[in-house]
Amino acid sequence: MKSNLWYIFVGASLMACSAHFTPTFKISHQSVVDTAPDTVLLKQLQPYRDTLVQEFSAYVATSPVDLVISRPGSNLMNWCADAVLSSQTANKRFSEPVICLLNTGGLRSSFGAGKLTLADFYKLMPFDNRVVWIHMPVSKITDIENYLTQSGGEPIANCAFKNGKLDIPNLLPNHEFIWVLTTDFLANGGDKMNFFLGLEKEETPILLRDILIATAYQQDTLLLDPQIRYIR
Amino acid sequence: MMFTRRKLFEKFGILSLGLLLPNWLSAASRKKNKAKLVILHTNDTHSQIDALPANHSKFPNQGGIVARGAIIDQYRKENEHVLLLDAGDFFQGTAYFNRFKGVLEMKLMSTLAYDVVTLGNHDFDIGIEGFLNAQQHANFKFVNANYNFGQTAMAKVVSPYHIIQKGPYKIGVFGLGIDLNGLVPKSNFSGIEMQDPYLSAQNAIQQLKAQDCNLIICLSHLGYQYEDPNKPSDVLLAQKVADIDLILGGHTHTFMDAPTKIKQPNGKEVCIHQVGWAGVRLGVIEVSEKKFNFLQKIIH
Repeated sequence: MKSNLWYIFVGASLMACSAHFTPTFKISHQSVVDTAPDTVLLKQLQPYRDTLVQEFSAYVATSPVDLVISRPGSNLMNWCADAVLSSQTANKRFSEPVICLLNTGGLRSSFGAGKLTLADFYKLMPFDNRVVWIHMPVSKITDIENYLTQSGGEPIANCAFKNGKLDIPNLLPNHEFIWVLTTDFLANGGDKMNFFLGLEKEETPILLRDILIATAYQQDTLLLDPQIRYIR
Repeated sequence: MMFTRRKLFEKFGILSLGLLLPNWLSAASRKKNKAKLVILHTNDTHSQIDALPANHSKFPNQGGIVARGAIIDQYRKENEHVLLLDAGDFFQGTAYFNRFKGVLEMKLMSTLAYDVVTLGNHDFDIGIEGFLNAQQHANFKFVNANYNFGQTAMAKVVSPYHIIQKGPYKIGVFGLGIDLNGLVPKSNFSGIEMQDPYLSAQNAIQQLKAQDCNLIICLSHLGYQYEDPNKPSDVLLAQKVADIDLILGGHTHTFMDAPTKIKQPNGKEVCIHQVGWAGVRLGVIEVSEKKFNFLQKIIH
């Protein structure tokens, strides 16, 4: 009997030690819908939510339609680039063309039609990126063209991208440089915009987000250009 | 001592009884639903603490951490072994992050009792110091195997992998992150070096196997797949590195209605899964044991 128990023990031990686990997976997902809230979380969140409502729910402007960020281009991408260009160039004269180039990945949210609050603009542009002027040789424009060809579309203003070429309306044969308005993140090679590295630049203390908020506030109902500026 | 044939059969029968005993016990425990493991996972929640607004063009009224918490609670009530994971980019995207600098995300994820998370590029948006200030409020583990944190203070709070025992499952979870160059200002990750994700994965897996993990999960923020065939991605990871059971991804905000199954170099299949962004979906994986392949083990 003792011997038999020993064999059972050895058998069980062998089995336990040599157990090779082969998992099978049943993979799915569940949509998260706000129906039965977790009360503990709700209680924890409420003071933060109250602060946010107090500080970020101020009305800024109205969006007449749904606005999206989508390559190759969209009304909201145009609006953002136009806002930067117009805010920086209004009532000034320049001897060289000025364009604006932002990044699609930096604009993080869409706007639904209707009233927009400060919180909406923080969602659109959550990063504390500042506006930078870059003095770019005309010979380097091909670098932007190559980038745009690969990326499939970025927010641009005072230019259009057609069949792989950047069309800048006021670029003349005697121009050796253009000015590119962009952000400090991109000017430092962010989003692989390495063509900006090493170029002369003028930094500003102005946050891109602040420009968008000020422009929207001024317009009240956002002024949109639905024309796609990127044509393959 | 010599066995007679009868005695040999007798002993063999008893030995077989012993061999089957763990299976019987295991079967009994399955009836109590104790052998089942449920893995819940999120990615790219991007500070979406509240549900998306009613006028959102794609996901009106969806998401929100309070609703997510209610669903997670329900799974925990129904199952003894639940693992909650996140594949990075829990920071950045709403004014909550701008205002509270990630502290709220860490507090709420701690209340939800996340087990392990990996880091996304946006989790560096407030730099190392900002991350560490927020991380003080986290009670879960951070894993990344392909960032060399060097002398930075992050080396103390992020480890290549973490091992968790959940019932019969010894689970090894390691993390992989995307190359931060070009995505994050250099000053935000100064002192952190990027390493080859595939080699880093192999090293982590080797260590997890040496510690007898029977389930190996990669939390990846590499991204699902890219047009550039050489850019590291979850699909390439699956094709190049063996012995991963699950790749739970992020970064590309990919909504997958079903997991992708890819054959690894050793011929086994690995599943890749990702649940979009903003916490509008919760990934649910039910794990069960298929078989105990003990005969091969005894012969060897």
